[in-house]
Amino acid sequence: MPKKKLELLTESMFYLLMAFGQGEMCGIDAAAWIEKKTGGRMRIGPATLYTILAKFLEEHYLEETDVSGRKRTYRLTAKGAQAYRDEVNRLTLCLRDAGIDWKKEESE
Amino acid sequence: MKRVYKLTPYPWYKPEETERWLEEKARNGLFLSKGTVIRFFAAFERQEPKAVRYRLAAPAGHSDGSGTPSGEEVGIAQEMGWTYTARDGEFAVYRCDDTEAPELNTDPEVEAMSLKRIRRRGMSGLFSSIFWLVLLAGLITVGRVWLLLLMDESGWMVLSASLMGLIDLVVSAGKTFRLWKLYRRLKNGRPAKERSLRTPRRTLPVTAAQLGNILALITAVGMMVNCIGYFFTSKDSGGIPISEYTDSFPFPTMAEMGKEGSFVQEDFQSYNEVQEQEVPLIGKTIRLSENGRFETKDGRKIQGFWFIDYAQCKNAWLAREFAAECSAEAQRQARKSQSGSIDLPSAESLGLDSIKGYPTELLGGTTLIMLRGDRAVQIRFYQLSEDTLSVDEWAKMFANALNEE
Repeated sequence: MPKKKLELLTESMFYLLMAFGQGEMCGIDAAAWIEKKTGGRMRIGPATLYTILAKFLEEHYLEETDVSGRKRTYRLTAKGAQAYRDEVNRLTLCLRDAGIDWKKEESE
Repeated sequence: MKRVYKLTPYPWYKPEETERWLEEKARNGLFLSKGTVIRFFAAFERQEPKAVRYRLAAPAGHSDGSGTPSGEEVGIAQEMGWTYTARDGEFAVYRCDDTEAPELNTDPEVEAMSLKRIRRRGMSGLFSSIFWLVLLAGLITVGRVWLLLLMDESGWMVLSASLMGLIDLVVSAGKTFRLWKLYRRLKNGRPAKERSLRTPRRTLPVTAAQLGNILALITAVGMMVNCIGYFFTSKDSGGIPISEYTDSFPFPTMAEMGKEGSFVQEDFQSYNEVQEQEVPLIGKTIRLSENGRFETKDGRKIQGFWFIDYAQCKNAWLAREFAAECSAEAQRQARKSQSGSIDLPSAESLGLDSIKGYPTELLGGTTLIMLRGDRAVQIRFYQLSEDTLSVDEWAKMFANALNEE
């Protein structure tokens, strides 16, 4: 039986893909970016961060670009970017079904 | 700094209980020593009491399953306020003194993912335990060798190995179930903050895990002592010369079978020895090997050798099982021989509960297994002379001995 790929992203995974979509960075910086972006609502713990990074590397959503001592830098791959876009589309459809036009709300 | 050792109340696969136990210890001024491994005991150091957070996390990535996280994982945790402190089974133990630092695990579903590898290893351990216990059960029931194994010098080793196998299976099953429950809760998104709210209920001064650890330690020490004893005593056969045996035999010996004074012992290797033991679960057993020649009252000159396994069991059921195991083994040997079946007198005519006879694999010998009440005897005799005693005669001699109170 082939390995099941990541079907649904959790909120932490989604935000990490969002963070790496900003550019190459290390995991700690990604977690800090997320905390700032969400105004402190989403805080990613170190074990969660490391588990997701390991999973994303396994799924080729991320690739390592630099290693400096214990610090590793990653960047989003095309597969990872597609997974992010798919999730955004899915969430958009959910909001639309709920009768919420988030783009209109944002412009207001 | 001097260390204080405490018996761990929870096994490693109960991480939430372990976390609260460690936090309780910290509030009382005992802090887990860095770089240690929690096993039956945990090592602590005394410091000023304070509230800290302890969390157990399964190492992610390509962990070797030892509970040791990678350097990168430790580094990330360190930068975010968590210090890797110790190992507990397949979990890494982290400590955080900073109340503002985020939780170690903030996503239950991701935490469930990290448990997958541990669960898989636990399952394979459980299947392995089941396999060995099924094999042991097969040996005991179908193979019928257990009581005969106990009669061997390694009786206690067999018992302790069986007991350890059972304990291992129970522990494996418990571990697999607990990890599965934890995995299910996390997969269903149980929030991490619930960890700090529950306090483990303890109505007894010791936990089941502590009792289990003590029992496992005792069994392991017992097995080690037995192994050492077996190593030192197995150099000799464990028997003494028949001439030095001071008790009376509950069955006839060659010296008693023939005319008085006609018996001549043939010294050969480890023959002419007797070993009496009190075997756990069985009772008193006597093993005798004899090699010699004698003349019967009617002038037949008999020469040969024999082996006797006699058991005075704790009850009739054990004696029946012992006789059945001897029969099963004799039957296995008989299948290899080309000889036909053996005609036996009926058990009733001999005053026995049962009598069975089989040809031996080699040298044209015969095995008789007799049972009466709580006593059973197996005789394997090999007659090398032209004159022989018939199977009937052998059977009657030993049946008379078993019938004596």
